[in-house]
Amino acid sequence: MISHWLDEQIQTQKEIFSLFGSVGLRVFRKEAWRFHEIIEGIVKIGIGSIPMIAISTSFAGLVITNEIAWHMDHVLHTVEMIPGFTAQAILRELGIAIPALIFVGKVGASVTAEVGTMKVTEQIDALKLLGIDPIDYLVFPNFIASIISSACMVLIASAVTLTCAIFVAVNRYHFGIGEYLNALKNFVGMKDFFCALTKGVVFGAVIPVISCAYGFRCKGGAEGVGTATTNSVVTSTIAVITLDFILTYAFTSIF
Amino acid sequence: MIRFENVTKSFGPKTILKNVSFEVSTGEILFILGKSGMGKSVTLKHIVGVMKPDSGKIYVDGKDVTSMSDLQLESVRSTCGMVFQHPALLDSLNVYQNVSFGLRTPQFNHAMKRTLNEEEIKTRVLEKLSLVNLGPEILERMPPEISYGMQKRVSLARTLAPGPSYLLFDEPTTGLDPITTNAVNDLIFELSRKLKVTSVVVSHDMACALKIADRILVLDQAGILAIGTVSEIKRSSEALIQDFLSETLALLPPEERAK
Repeated sequence: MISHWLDEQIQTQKEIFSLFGSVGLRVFRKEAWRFHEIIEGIVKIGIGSIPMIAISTSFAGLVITNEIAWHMDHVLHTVEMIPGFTAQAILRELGIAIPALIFVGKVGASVTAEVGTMKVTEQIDALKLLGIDPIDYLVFPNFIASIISSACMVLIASAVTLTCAIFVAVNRYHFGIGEYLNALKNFVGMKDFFCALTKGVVFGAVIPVISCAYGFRCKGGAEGVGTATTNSVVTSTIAVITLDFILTYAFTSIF
Repeated sequence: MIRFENVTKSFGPKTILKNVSFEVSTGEILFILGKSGMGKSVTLKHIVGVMKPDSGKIYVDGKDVTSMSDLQLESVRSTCGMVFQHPALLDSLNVYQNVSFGLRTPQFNHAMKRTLNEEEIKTRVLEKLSLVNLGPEILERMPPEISYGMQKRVSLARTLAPGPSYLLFDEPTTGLDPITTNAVNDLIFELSRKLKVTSVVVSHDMACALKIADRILVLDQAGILAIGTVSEIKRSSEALIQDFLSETLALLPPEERAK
């Protein structure tokens, strides 16, 4: 029983890495760049996620600023450092991890369900027979759309979260907007934007590949699609958190 | 011609096909019958390389498909059309886009040595839809907006559109009304006789098999229980075949039964 489960897990991981390799190679193949599907993907994945990400990150901005300020006030008896600390927390973590996890739940789940349904209803076999490579048609457009959307989402989420942080700092801790932004400049540099964008691109690349790999492995009917979707969300969440740690470790070592 | 040579396929511990060998000649209609889970659909999927056997060889037009990569299989697949058990229509495309899908692929253009213009594509789509008793009024409809039976017919039209030399049917008439079932059977028969299209039909429907098949192959217990012409199969003493026949004959009118 356990060995069967382990075999399944190893096989799944192999297929995810193999799919990653196949998708990576397609970057250099002109015919894989289906711009119509990529733009459709950006609209569906990116624009469709903006409201959810904006709402979630705005509340996260309110919460984190209140928490940081409250602790500073109680422990250090000063709130001067609020702009720096909140901006660092937002640009290095909050503005990236929250959109990524929402991406996993919204985009990852829908991609696995879509590809899984196509698998169990033999649409993928039909594509193959019609001479269409399912990776070209289904995975690569989602991969590119997700990378672009995720990078944009990171910027949008960071901007929304920072705006909310400023709102709390101004209204509760009596900062002036100019004062807050001036203090921000001393703590935040281009390297923070670079870190944020890099993480956004990496998460955006990983989520659709894992989601599609689980979709391709889907077996059975509706139950199989449900199981594949659950497993895909779990694996993508673990992958995002693990990669977040690795990238954070690397960036804090480099910068 | 399609040829299976000692094909074996297992899924985990279960062997579905064991040393299966048979041939399908050009223009022939071969029905593959058997109980559920006996490897009928698996056999069909092996022909176009969607599944690979664990051992054995499969030849289509003399080319060994078991050793081909997906890219190499394109040339074989361009000569084959397959109607799946599910309609397998692409949900994001409407009926017109689904039926014309195969006419826009590089594989088809390569086989045709040219690209069809939109007018030619539309003519061909309407022609294939009319073969399966569907009219132009459904062209703009999305697959979920039409009935299951209509989806199966659209799927058949999509398969016919590129003009394949081999047609593989996986339970083509399941979910269809008796009139459309007869129309589909007549269509398979006509394609075989007029255009020399080779058809392999996986079915549970012995009545259809008796009506249009040139030969019938019965799969059971991972192997071939019987293969032969309709009259040879009718004379078979195998219990499973007799069960199939008695169930079918009981449903036929007396004059048909006597034949």
